[in-house]
Amino acid sequence: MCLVIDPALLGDAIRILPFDSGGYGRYAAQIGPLLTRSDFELGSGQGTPMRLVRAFFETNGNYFRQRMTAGATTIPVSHGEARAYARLGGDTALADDDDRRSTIEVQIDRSVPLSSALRAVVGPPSLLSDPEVTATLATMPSVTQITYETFGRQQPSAYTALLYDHVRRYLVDQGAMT
Amino acid sequence: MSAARSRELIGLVDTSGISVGFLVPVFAGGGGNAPVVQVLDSSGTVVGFEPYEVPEAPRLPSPSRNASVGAPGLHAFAFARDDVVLLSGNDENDQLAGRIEDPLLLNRPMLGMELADLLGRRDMREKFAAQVHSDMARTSVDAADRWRDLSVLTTDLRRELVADEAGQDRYFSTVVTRVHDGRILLLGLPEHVPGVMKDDLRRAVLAVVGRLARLYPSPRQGWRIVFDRPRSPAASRRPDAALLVATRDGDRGGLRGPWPPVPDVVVHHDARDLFSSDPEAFTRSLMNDGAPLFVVHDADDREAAPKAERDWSSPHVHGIGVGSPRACTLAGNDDLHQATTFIPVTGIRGASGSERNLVNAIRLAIAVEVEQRRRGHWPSSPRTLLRSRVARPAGSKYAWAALYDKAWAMGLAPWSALRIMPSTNASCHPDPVAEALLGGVGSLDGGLIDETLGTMPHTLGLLVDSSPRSQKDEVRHKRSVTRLLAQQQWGVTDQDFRRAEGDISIRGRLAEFEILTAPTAAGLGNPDRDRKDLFQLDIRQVRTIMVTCAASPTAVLEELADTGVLQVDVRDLVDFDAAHSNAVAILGSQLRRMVTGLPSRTRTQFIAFAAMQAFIADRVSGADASDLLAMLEGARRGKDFHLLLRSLKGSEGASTFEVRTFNTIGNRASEPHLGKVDRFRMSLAPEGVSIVLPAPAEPRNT
Repeated sequence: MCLVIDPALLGDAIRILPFDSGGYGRYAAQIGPLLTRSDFELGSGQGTPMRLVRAFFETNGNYFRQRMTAGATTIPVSHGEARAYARLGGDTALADDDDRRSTIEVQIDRSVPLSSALRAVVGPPSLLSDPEVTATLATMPSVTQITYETFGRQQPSAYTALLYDHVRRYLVDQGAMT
Repeated sequence: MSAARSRELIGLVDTSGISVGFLVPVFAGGGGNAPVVQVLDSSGTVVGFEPYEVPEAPRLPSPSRNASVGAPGLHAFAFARDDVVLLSGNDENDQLAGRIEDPLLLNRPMLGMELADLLGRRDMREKFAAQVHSDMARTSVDAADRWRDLSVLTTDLRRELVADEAGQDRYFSTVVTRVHDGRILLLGLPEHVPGVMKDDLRRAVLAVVGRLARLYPSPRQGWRIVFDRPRSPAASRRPDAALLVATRDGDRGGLRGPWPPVPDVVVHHDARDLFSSDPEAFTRSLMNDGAPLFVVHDADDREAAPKAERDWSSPHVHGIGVGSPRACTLAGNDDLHQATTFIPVTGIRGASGSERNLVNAIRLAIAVEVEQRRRGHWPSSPRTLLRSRVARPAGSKYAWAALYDKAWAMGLAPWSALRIMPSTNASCHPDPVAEALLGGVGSLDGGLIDETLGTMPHTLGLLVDSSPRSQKDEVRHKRSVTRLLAQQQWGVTDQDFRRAEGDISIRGRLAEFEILTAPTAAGLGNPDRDRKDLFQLDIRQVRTIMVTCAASPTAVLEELADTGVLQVDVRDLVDFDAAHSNAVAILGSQLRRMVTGLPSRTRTQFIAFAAMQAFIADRVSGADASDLLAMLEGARRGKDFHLLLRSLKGSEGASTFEVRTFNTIGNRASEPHLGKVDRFRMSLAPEGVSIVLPAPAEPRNT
């Protein structure tokens, strides 16, 4: 299941990082020893993630597909953090991490009520048709529900691409995949 | 994939955790191995088995069954934890079909849809879908329609595209449908869909909505199918401009196109694909929308824009000349009358990033011209667009000074210009440096300028008249420099303010200088020249400064060695305040421009010169001082041994750098034959240059 959250929440961020900070230890090969995790903390402004996407991916579509367009060699050497991030996102080699190494992390220091923050939910019919879930979603008229079929799929990983595709449908409809 | 042809069912994994809906049948792996699951082909037939990715997942008990390669896949559907139906053959399908109107499914129509789908019951699937839509619409019609379009119609259209063997299925994985007011929108497609594929998409989507008549009642006028691209709302407005690309050599940092050029580009300033071709939209924008036509051409090609003007009968043609700084400057007798914006290109052609940089420059040039025309200004004389990035907080003063330097170095008059900036900058307090250098120069902001600079943040521009400057401009240059120095509390004495050649004397708390404002840019020196004499020169003894606006490392060292005069750019004077600065501060400013990881012979010579100042002043501490001195004085400096700067910090009149040695032969930064020093810290303060070498025990990362 995937929840799509209102981007207005970005204004409440206390910390934004360009990657999954919990996996920082796995990025050493691309980042090198001179930088620390805190070097990558971005400003907390609402537009910060979009600026990062524009700088390194150019378009939302590229970011969604994790196709980084900025190359480390095009970034001045004095911007060591940016070069390291470009190396991290541009490394297509198989590694013991995944696309979380260039997926933006937003940290908020308060509880976020889904009743106001949820914009869309992508899930299997069994869960989205559950009476408890439908009753809850009935109180959120602006939330878009998107379902995908589950029969014939055996492995959990078989759902990953399915989730990405259905979230993309929502983002295309919202005009966010420019 | 396992080679065994038959496997025994050992349990059912309840992935949703509520024991309702489809479960995952798990089979014995054999030989104590992890459990396996079926691998099914597109028809649902078992083609093998593979280890389950979550072997420890809790399982519900299952009856004794087997699955075999080549047989229909085994499915399990739970009505409740103790009410699970297995199906793999027709009899079992019939058994399950008999329960298609089970109360559980009537209360969970989404689940009923899925089961009907598996059973091939289109009628029931649509009935359940209509029920889901109706239930959702009680809360929100909009949300219900979105679910219907994104979950049902989009899925069915993609299936239709894949199933149609005669048709095109290129877009089956990307197309997204939405339906409004009798219109079927096909989204998620590329800008140009060939006509034959559009026909396939139309045929497929009409077939699908025909089968889903309960969800999509046919409108009285029939369906209207609209191909739309995902775009921001602003992109749907009329185009700002049309653009032709007409470079002769076909390779100018990413711009390509022969003459006669094909109708090429329609420009929306929020669109990022500036150079995608769209002949229809191009023609429409010129003929119907009256968009101005911009022609990108080689800077020295005088024919491209007039040709385009004749070919397209457009009254508003504007050339954009791209070339070297020299090609972007008009000679005194150049009679170019057409409206042209020159964009000087420096650096390595075709280098990484040069294309985007050039695209941004063209985008800004178009925005500036269109915005001026909107405001009733119709420029007819050629102008040159210069850009500079604000590289640090509160750094706009350096950017304005750098623009001044660029213009002056090209032989232009920086005040015959327009300042280009975002309106947020324009509304701030006036920048004192910009006032000193470019006081009285008009500015352009807002509208398209804001939109364009919004996509290239921290950029300022100067649109300068491309005509060569006059003798009067030399005098004005001198006054600008004088104003900048006086602004920083230097006591300035200009012996003849009416003449460019007259000397200026300045007096500060720490130093006094004679200032020359050279009438011509300094030439490049020879980086291979032996500079032993130069390395005896104490920068603190310099008494004359020459403002050339073209103070390259080589030019600075050459002039110092020859005349003892320190060449500077105007931007070197931005932080040159009378209270804290002497010639060492200028050296620090020039070193700041050399903070880069790229080794260069001229930069190494300059950094070595600065480092030698510490030895001259006897301000070197650390055990390896003699090694460093040998390295700096050695003949290999700038050849196979380089110095690189990493800026650490700066304050009033002082800068501190980390300097690293770099050996272009070996992989290590420091090779034994070059000495033991691989890094040191160099500080520049009014007292002089000082160096701190790391203690021997300190780790030396490279």
